[in-house]
Amino acid sequence: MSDVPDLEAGPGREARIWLEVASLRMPAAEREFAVGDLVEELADRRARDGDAAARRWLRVHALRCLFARQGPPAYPNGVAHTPRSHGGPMSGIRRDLGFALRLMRRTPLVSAAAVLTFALGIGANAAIFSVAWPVLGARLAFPEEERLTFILLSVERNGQLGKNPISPGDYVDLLNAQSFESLAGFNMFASQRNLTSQGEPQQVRVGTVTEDFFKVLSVPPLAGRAIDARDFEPGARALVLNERAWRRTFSADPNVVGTTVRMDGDAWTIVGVMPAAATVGTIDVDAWSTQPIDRATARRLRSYYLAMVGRLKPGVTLEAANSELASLMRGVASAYPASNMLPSGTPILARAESFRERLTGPIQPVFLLLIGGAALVLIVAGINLAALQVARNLARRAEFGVRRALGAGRSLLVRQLMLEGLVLSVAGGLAGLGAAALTLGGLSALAPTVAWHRVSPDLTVPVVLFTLGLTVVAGLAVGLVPAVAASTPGGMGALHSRGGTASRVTARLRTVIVGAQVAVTVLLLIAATLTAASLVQVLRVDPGFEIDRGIIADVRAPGAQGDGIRFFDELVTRAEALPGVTRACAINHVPLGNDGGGMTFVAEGKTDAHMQGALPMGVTEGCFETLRIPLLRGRSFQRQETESVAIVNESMAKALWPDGEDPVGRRIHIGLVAGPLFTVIGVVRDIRAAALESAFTRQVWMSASRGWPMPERLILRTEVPPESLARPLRELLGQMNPNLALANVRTMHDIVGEATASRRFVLVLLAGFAGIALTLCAVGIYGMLSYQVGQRTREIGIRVALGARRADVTRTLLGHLAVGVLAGVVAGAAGARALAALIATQLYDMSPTDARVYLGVTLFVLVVAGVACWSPVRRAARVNPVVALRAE
Amino acid sequence: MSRHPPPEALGDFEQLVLLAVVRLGDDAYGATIRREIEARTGRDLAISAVYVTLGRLEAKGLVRLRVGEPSPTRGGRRRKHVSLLPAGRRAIAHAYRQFMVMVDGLEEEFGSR
Repeated sequence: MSDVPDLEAGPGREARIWLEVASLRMPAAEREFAVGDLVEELADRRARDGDAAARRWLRVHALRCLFARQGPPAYPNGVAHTPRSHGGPMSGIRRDLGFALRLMRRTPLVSAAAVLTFALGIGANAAIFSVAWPVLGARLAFPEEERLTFILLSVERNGQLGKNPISPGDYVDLLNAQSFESLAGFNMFASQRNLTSQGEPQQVRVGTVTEDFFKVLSVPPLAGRAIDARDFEPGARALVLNERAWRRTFSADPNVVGTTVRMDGDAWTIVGVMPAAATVGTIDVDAWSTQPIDRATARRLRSYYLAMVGRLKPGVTLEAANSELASLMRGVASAYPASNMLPSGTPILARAESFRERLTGPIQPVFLLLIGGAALVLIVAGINLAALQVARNLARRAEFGVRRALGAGRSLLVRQLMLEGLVLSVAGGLAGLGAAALTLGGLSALAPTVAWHRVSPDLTVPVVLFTLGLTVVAGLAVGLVPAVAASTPGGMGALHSRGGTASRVTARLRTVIVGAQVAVTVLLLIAATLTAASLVQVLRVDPGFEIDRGIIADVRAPGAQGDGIRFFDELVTRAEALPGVTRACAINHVPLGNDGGGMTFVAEGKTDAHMQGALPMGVTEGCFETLRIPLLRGRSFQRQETESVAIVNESMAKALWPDGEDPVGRRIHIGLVAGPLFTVIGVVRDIRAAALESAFTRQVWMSASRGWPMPERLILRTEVPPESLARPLRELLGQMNPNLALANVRTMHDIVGEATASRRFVLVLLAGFAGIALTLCAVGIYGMLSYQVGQRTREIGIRVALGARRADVTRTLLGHLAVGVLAGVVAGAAGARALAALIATQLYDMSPTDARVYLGVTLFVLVVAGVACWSPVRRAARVNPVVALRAE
Repeated sequence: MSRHPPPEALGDFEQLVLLAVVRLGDDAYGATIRREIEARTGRDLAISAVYVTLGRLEAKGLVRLRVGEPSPTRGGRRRKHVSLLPAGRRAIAHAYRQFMVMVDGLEEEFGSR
């Protein structure tokens, strides 16, 4: 647009814009002179009629220039007036672009279908990319993140490496590792605390970290400072806020550092604010405080609750660090065989993994599957569009013929057709981006929390760039096939071939096109169906307790332990008095929501080598009735147990007494043989503590009336809709203690929903992709066949006139198509079989090669293909030879 | 007379532009031609249409286009001066004669402006 230079003496800004408008459709060679004329006349008019009138005239005139009929070109062959030699190659592209746009307008339905197809294909990819990018692609907030590692104990069982929390003793020994520049630990189990100084009491998740935690991460604080050695002085209560909590609870108060807040009755000093990104890779908390570890006594504590973060020294590889950790832990195991060696003699080792690996490792298969699915949708869309363009170009053979006869070279035709593809794809890409933006809300709602990281899909710059890049590539790819086909000599560029019989090449091309679409559709449908069947399997799993009409809420008891038990007793009693509540109890772990934290138990009379891990469940009286967990033997807990008693679940009973003895009346040590003894008073059925699809875990239930484990949640069984109880419950808690907060009020169904969120997410996306692919495939087959019937009406007419039966006509039409569909079904099934390992990562209790699914999907696709063929084939069979021939 | 081929037929708009060029003489270029036509006929033409027509007239060998010097009143842009070629003069004269022959005796019917 340099034809309108910005000169001081020249017109104002508005005028310049209008001059640009006026010059838009002027031949480049004339622009300077014509615009000069307008400038000159504008100045004259301004002098004569005044500024406003002159500007009005320019506006009108600019529009007139824009829409003026340019008249016939100077030379009949149309090359002289918009000479390529004058305007350069861009003016030709501009002309082609104009032509492509006009073509779009001329065939609005076909163009809309093409744009929609593109939008579906590109939109699916944009959506997936917006989900995957924040997790897989975005850089972490930590400087030199590649040196950051995450360390857990690692125990090899059945050839698989387990990841387990670290005990304080092991932590102290691991600090000696030389591969790391700095090492620190944090408690893997954040605690819920009641924050009372900021308006309504609310629960905050507080994580505890050792001195060097933030030094390892190297994230600079937003305000104040990180936790450091000062905060470990006796009596210090320092709190570092997470940016999110700072914004939400403290309204991003810039002066928050140095202020005091009340939490569980104590005064805490806020010393700093850390960016929210600092939680990535460790655990999600609202604030951090100190995790003191006494090196002198650490070895005596046999509880496993720590994880470590380490920053590798520059130049030290992860492998080197891991071999050092292994030899270090072997030394620890020989020094403390009782705690650090499995009964089999295998030492417990420690393993470091990179933050990136921790972030992406567990979810890579999910995203591989989803990205693959989206890519397949785009491929189907692309094939469909290429076919559409080829068909459309067949109808334009005469036009191409004329162009070539008038001297348009092959490259010119290719350019024009590719540009047409590009115009469609850009329109589709923009629509797809819009569609993706619309689905973001839904996706966010569905997105599971992956590991510790809430997936938050967003249309960030990389996502938009990716989408636009994909759009251009897809557009060029879709344009290329028909362009080459159309420009090949004898292909479609001939003047003489108007309709008639289809060439063998295009027939084969059609077979391939149909086959590829069907293959991709079958593959996606198989994956989606397997995932759906898996979800059904998972939901059919008996969690061991009753889900219906259950409600659960987090409550943290105030003050000392004894107070806590009295508090929960009273809370349970008063909650049971609420209308609609049939039974209530308090519990420490969320059933199905537990993320680890087991401990060991040893049957009396056995050695430490026979220790068994189990999840300690601390409950008040009536929990088995509230959760409807059947008691198999012995008795349930009373409100106040005077002895140390425990109830084991079936799995734990089998593990402790493998010979099948009656556990009731026997005693178990907590921890190791040196630990206190508890008498087993009953056996209950197993419940799934971690997730529906996890194996039954071992549980040891203990009465909270003995002071440990302390409950942290309230569970109610109701005979009214559980949602209606949130308010009365909150009021009840407020009456009991205005400083306590009720958090995470959820129904048991919500908990099942959370436990299956990841599956649902994958399923919804895969099913969406499969649905889009199936629709595109059906529309593609229908469109192709309809078009073919239209093109071959004359041929069919002749055949019928010469005595062909309807069946023969149908067979000729469907022959290639049937070959394509069948080959596609086989290829799609084979593809699904080849990807079985990947698909299996998302399955539960379901073979990735389940014959019923394969067969069902195959039949379904055949039926859909049949339906898509129905109407065009009927039309072909009804061709009246007389009419068909006369029409030509 | 017979030294030249019969003059090309002119379109209505081509006639207007050629007549403006005749009237303007040495001062004929895009803006003046446009204004001349507008002032006389009241038709507010798009400048781009003038150039399209000029291009066509040039291609027919009726006018010659010559690029002038940049001028400050035009924001540093150049003018494209138009001068009538003999063939152009013949063509417009031919059109004029034909028109006059055809309107002869019809003055009453159309009035004199």
